[in-house]
Amino acid sequence: MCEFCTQHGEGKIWYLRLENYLEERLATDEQRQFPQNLYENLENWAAHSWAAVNAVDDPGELVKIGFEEMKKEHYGQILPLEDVEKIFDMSLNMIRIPCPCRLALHGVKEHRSCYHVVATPSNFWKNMFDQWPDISAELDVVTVEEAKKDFQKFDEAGLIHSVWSFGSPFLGALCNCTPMDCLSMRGLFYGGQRPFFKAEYVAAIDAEKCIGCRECMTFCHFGAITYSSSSEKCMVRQMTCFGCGLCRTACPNDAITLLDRNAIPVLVNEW
Amino acid sequence: MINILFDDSKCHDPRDCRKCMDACPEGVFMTYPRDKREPGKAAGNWAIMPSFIKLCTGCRICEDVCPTKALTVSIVEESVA
Ligand code: SF4
Ligand code: SF4
Ligand code: SF4
Repeated sequence: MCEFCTQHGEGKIWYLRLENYLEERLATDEQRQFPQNLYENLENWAAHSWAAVNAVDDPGELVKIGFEEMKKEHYGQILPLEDVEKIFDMSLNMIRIPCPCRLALHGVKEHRSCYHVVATPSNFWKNMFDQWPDISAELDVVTVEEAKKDFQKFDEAGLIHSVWSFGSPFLGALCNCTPMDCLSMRGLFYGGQRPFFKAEYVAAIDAEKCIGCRECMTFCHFGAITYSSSSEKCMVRQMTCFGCGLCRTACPNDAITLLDRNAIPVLVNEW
Repeated sequence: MINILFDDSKCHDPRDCRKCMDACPEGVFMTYPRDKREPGKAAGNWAIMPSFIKLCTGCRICEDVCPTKALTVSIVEESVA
């Protein structure tokens, strides 16, 4: 189990625990203020923070410290499509907004791939975003079925799903991204730093079924898949795999499954 | 050391252009609003900066794609003491 499952999961995967999607989880004023402060100045804060990191001699070290700090407030985990669907089944109110990371990193205003969920009837997220006209104008209220369909499309497009806390362990957002498009995943370019855990899973290829087409390699953002010209098959490097499950989506021959990371001795401590 | 200088008078809203952000192979640029959101008010006055400058290789692809020549890549040779 990852650190957050131990702390906030009560024997379950932390992001599959309904309690962590209840607005009451935002217990203190400071926690309640966090999402508000974050979104009102997100792009500006991120641009200046990354610039400050890039001004020092050893950015990797600074990024590492900053990401460790983020555990208190805004931390994530990668998860495969079937777990995203379990979260949607627990959610009462769901909205979709344009991805603020793509706006900041590519100037793209309308990539509607950032989902906010809450398991109380309060509509917490919509109320917050509605105060800002630029976000409000591009905000959609979505049903569970719509959200599931959207995520299927994102999956087929090769976008990594992740879930994020806002004042941990209150969970509130599900994203679809790539390292180039995500303000947090950009840390990977600085010595592999990241403010999110690997998934609870790890991919494995059934050599009997693999036809060596290498489609899976084109979907892996982490370079975890290698090809052998001896066996003419692919294999997953388990220490490198983040467990996103995208290779499984890409495989035309159903050769890839996700295994429980916790069941593999050396991976138990690899988050 | 590599530096990228912007002439803000030539780059109005990077979100409507995006050319340098899309072309840079290292993802060096970010756009950000100088004015933050407030109740009833959108983020505004968007500008650009080379936030990820440590990743810049000095290839100058960004200079080539910028339609208004708003940016200059300046490469300062490190002096050998
Ligand atoms: S090998 Fe598959 S599951 Fe693992 S990180 Fe790559 S695409 Fe994701
Ligand atoms: S996509 Fe499937 S069949 Fe093709 S190389 Fe990868 S595991 Fe093998
Ligand atoms: S010089 Fe090349 S690497 Fe540097 S910012 Fe411009 S396009 Fe990016």
